[in-house]
Amino acid sequence: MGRWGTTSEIVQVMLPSGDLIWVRVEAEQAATSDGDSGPVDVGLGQWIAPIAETLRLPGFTQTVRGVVTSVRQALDEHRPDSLTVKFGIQIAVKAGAVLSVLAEAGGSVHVTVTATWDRRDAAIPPGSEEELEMK
Amino acid sequence: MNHDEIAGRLLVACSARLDTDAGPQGTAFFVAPGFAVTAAHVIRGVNGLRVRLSEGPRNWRGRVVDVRPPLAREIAATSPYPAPDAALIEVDEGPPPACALLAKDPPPENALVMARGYTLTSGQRAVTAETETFRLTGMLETTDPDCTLLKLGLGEARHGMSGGPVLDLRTGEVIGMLRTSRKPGSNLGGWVVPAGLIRLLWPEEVGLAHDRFHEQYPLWRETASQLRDRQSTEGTQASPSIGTIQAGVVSVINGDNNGPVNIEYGPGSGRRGSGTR
Repeated sequence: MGRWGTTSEIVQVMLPSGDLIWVRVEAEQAATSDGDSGPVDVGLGQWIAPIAETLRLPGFTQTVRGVVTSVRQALDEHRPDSLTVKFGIQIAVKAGAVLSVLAEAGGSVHVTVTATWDRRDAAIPPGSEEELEMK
Repeated sequence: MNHDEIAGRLLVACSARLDTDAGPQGTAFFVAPGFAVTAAHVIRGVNGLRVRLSEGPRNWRGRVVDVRPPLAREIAATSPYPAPDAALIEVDEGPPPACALLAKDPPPENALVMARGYTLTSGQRAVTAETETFRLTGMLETTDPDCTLLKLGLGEARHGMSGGPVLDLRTGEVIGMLRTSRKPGSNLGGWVVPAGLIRLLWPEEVGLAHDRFHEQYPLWRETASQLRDRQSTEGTQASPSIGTIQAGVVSVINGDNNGPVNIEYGPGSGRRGSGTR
């Protein structure tokens, strides 16, 4: 209730590798049903505890793996010699929990896929680039 | 040193940052030899919890010995914590601190007060001390018939200020302990557990020991008296010093407006105030 006094906070999160990084997250303004936040105890621990408890950034690994796996499956029959996937991860605070989700831009999630083939007999010309837009 | 600087130094002398093994939790302040108080929610209502207190180079270790009300499952995660929201800490290691002079009665409405606490305001990575002035705007009855909280306005109660002392800038007495913001991110002020109630919650550890301490070491009262005198003349001429205040417990060394408050026990005084407990 009312834990987040501002719309943006810098928090420390732990990547699956164990590395700690500082990220800026967009925080929800807690509010009551009439849109006006009420009295809140102003201890420090209660304020930073939700961040500490979710240091491990749940969903990060699954998000990355899901995107990469999906792209690889989509191009499986074409078997490219190299594959580059570019996408953004947005770290957000929802209901006091830190989440990692695919970054949105204008309501769309952009994943840029670059696949290359060195073989001359490939069905798709060498150096072809394909951009996927996910909504 | 002007009126507000004297008040600020009194707050520095009695307050401390509170840490647990989980990191910084808020603020506490010393109320009697060997005892400090904080808000119950600051220590998550856990009786027996080990805590560390610090102010500048001074460090103390202690243990929560009473929580009001005691933690119950249904209030573990509630905010605001049920009234009065206070916890007593017994300090068992550290230098002798200065004990706040607790007011017996609440101040008059619209009284100007100053709170001090340890916040993240200066940056999300560092906990630093911060003061804020408020006006007393009213009283708030609670579900506890013995507890009426003080309401403050015209100031921002920041996260980390919970458990911090609130000083009446007119009398130099601590009127209570800050515990809640009326609306985070606003200047709507907060709620304060009255000093008179803190005395009643622990009549021996705080009430009697506190009174004995200030009878034995009248320095805070003398400083408060000078604060009142200074208030009446403030604005006509700023003085660089209020003079060295000598007593066994606190020495506010003046002449250096930016210097720290020096806390010293007098010769022969024990670490806990010469057996005032």
